[in-house]
Amino acid sequence: MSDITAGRLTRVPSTAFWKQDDWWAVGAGLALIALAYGVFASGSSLAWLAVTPPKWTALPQLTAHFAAAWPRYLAQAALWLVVVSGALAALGYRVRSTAPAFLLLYVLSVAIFTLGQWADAVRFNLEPPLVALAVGLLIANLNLLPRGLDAGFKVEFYIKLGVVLLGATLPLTLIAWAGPVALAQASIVSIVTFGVIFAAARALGLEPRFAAVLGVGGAVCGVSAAIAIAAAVGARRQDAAVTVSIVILWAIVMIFALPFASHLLALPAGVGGAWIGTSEFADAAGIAAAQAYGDIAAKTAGAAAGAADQSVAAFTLMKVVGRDVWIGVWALVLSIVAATRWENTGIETRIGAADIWRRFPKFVIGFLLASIFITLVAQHAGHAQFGHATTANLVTPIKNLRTWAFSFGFLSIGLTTRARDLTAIGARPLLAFSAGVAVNVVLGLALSTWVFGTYWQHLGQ
Amino acid sequence: MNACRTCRHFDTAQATLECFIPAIGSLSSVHAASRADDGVCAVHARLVAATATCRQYKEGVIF
Repeated sequence: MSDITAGRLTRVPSTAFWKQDDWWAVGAGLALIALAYGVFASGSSLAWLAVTPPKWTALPQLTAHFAAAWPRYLAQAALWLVVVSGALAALGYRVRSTAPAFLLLYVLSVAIFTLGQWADAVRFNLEPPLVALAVGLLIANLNLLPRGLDAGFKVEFYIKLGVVLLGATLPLTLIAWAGPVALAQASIVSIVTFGVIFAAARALGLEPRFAAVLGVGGAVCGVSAAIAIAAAVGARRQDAAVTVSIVILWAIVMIFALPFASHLLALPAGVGGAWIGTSEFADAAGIAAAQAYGDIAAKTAGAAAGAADQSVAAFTLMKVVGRDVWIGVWALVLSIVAATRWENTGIETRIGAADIWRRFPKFVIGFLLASIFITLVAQHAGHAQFGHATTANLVTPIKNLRTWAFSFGFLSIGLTTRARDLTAIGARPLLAFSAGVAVNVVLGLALSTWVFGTYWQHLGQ
Repeated sequence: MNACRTCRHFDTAQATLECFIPAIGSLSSVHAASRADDGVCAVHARLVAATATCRQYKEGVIF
């Protein structure tokens, strides 16, 4: 975005907080949590508004539910519309594009959520995240919607908003207990994966900047890391585009592959979530896979209580706390390596320590603030009270809102992933990246099950 | 030496990045904090940080 002031160029920097979806997700998430708490503190609950379709076995149950609850869905849609339209308008998108897009997203989400609540859904592999992705991909690739509606299909905003709301369902003690384990596991896998992809790419004759961008795409946080590191090292723009395409391709494959592999291996929900957090490439794709596996694991005989949430919690700790927050450090280190050891491109990069904060995924702050808030509420309420009234009237409505936010994100992944938008991928980059995937998946599984399995299996219990 | 931030060859607009990498929105965002002030250099055809510098710097505006 540019502006002219007294004949001189001034640009509104992307680092301005109102230009970043991270901060809008934090603001919207904390506002929803504050609303839930305000209603709860006044002796009521947001449960009326945070309605979700019930479990069902026969259609009459559904029709009875919607006949009675339609005003609640209408009110919820209005609340989401205000939140989403407001945030996206601040990011520069017109309400006349985002509002219809969001309403479509909401209607599709209600349909997919309802299907997922069917008693036989798991038997037919109809986990809502996977169905949402498949439906979205179908709609986008058959060109059933105008591209202008993409303005309302903002995957990152919905997922970041969901992560902030997730923070309000995880006590800070849990993050403090599992955080170091996540950090250790994620660090081992990230460094090894980067090393394998970089070495393979160099061995295949790719230039070091391209190899580095591919490496972080597989090791850190997928597309976001690829863009950040491409700029930090001054990579060619087509190298960034190729990496983004490869990351998307593998991430979509992994959304389906990791939950089914976890199911075949009969992994506990927490272990499966940790594995997905280690081996998926993007937050949105990973949360879709983790939630899908949580749903599968929860309906398996002998599943621990809260299994569905365990998978998403383990994923978030591993991916967000363990991997994403280091993106600035990767940018700093690789920019120094690029400037001192790789061929001069004529561009002098000046990445400094301040970039660690500039590139920090700010939604993590919202996640932690939400967790601190709910921990303080729990302390104030006392254990017995928190276990009953607070959970039912405060935490559960927030959890339901989180599920909706994630649903919007999962659908948006499919609705914005078009095969024709993917840049032509050469064999060598794909091979190098795939070598990293192979090592990452095996190492991630070994660490999640054998080395740190006990932690992940008992997460939150 | 002035940084790319005020160079006429440097474009940090979200639309530009989406044009070069159309699939960026499906699993990331041009509005992500991790992107900082990164943009595209029209001279070098590379992604660069706004703090970078080069000899082809030219103050100005792209319309």
